[in-house]
Amino acid sequence: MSRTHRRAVVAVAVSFSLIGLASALIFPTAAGAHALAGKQDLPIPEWLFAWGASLVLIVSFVALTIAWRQPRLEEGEWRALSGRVWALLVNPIAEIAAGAVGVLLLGVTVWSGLYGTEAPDRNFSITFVFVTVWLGFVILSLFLGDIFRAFNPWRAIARTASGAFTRLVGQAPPPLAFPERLGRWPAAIGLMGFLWLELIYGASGLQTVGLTPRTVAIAALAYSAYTFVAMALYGIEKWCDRGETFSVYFGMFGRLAPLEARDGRLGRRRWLAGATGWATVPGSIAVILITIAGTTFDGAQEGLLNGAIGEVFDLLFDHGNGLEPVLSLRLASSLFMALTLGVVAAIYWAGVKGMGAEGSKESSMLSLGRSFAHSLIPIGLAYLFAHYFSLVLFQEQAQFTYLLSDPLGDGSNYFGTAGSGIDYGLIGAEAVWYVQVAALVIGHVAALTMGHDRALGEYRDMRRATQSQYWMLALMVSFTVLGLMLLSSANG
Amino acid sequence: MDSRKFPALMALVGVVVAVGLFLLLKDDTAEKDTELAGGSAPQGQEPPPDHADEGNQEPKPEPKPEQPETPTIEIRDGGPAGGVQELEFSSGDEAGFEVISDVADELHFHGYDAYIDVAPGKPTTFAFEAEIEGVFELESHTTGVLMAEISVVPD
Repeated sequence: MSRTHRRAVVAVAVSFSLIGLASALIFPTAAGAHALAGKQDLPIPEWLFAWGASLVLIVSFVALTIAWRQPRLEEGEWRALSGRVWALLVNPIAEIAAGAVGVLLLGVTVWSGLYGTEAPDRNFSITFVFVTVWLGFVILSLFLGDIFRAFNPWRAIARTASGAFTRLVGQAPPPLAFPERLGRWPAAIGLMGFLWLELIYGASGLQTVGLTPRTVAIAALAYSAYTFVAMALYGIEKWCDRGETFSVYFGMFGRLAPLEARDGRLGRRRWLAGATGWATVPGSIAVILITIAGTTFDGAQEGLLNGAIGEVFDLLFDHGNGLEPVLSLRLASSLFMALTLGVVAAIYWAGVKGMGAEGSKESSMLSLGRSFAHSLIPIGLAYLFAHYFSLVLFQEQAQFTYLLSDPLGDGSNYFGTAGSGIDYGLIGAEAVWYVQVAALVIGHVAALTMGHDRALGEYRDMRRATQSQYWMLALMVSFTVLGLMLLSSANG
Repeated sequence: MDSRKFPALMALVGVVVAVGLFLLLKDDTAEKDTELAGGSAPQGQEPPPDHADEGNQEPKPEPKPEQPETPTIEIRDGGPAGGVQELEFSSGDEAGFEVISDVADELHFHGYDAYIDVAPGKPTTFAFEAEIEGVFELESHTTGVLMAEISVVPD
């Protein structure tokens, strides 16, 4: 059996055993609580899991057979869009307006957090931050590119302040040089912090410890202060590109989009092509792996990991260690979140190792890993979509009805929409399942596409490129099947 | 075969296999696990209460002849006895459960957005039409403690 065949067989065997493992681990829903969730998703039934996993395999092998031979996503082709419509959307005035909207909404978030009701589901801030912005901008960025840049309140405030400073005092000293080796690590750490706040600090065990609106407001203020200092030190645009958590996070998804603005003009590029080379900046791999691990942990903490977390909690709380229950739960959960990240990272690097750097343009595992990590972005997006789309569907109803008109939850009705509520009957359980599975399959296809294309550009000859792809296939199948597994064993 | 047609053919075969597998695997039967978890079952068979208003939140629907055991949630010392209860109902059914509590409290049934008053001494029966599918939390509105997870599954 030739080496190519052997590698192919190993990759397929790995994939199948993972599916087998996953099937064995499907078990029913476990308890959990979400401050916001009025309705949580039912776990996907076994037959749908089996079908999803089979479909993923079928699609992967079909894709390998019909795959193209020349890289298509490597060039940074960008064609400016001509026409009045586009100029109306992308121009300095629109940018200023968008920035103003961002600042206004940040203000409302802080105000409602500090002065509004403590009930998380009736306060503007919680839904706005964790659903409308955190999930909404991911979807928007997928289609519209780096749109957060225009709405970024910290960038808007900093640019205004910087402009005023220059006008009143004179040219400011040049910013410090940003250490390139630091790369996107500040954003990765910020992302970890946000997810920790959302999933662990704000998680409930049996008691609703919950994330209070007040905490959100204080966190927003603290983050603003930190961001302004960083922007002053390293420059606004540089910090947005490397260190500002939300800019980097949404910008990552924006790389998949067919739209990109350069020098104030809107332009078109191929879907997915903008992401090539994104991960070469140090710390970028951490950003995408943390993204996937965060959603994985959120799904697992109520399903697969619930028992394990409970046991560590008991260990810390009951057995004479005397730790408070809340602290014990947070410690236990944090431990498992770190473990989840470890597992996700291990899957990725195992795949990279399998691909191997020989015959490639890279000289080390690290640079090889960096040249391929962008192909995980659609998987991260698919995870987010599958896990949260029904939450978005319901909470956005709240966002535009009673949360908009009554942001403090005190009975006001500014826009007249406070009377309406959420219609939970909008979508049935089966429809949700199909959307979830479809999201994972589409994400898988996009990831395969990007990985395949990169391999063509990376490896010297077709034989090595094909070999590397079998490993990439196993990697992608692992993540997608893991995603399906989470859906079938957790709720919400 | 024309090499340009090959990819299209492969894709078509893939789609056919995928659809075929789907139809083969799809399980249309209702969830087999209709075992409704509850705390301590009251007395074996539970007749509907004679006084329609006592302890009920909503006008009771016509009692079905083959009344299955109504699941009971028992609240003791601020939490659910036996851990968080898992209840399951079929979509479209006339559903209901009973709550027995040792203290006066108000429970919030998420999704269906109902508030259920409970008091010591008398069990509260809550009846509803299981129209919305999903998993819903039943928690104490005052303390936030999760009492039950109620699933409404498609049939």
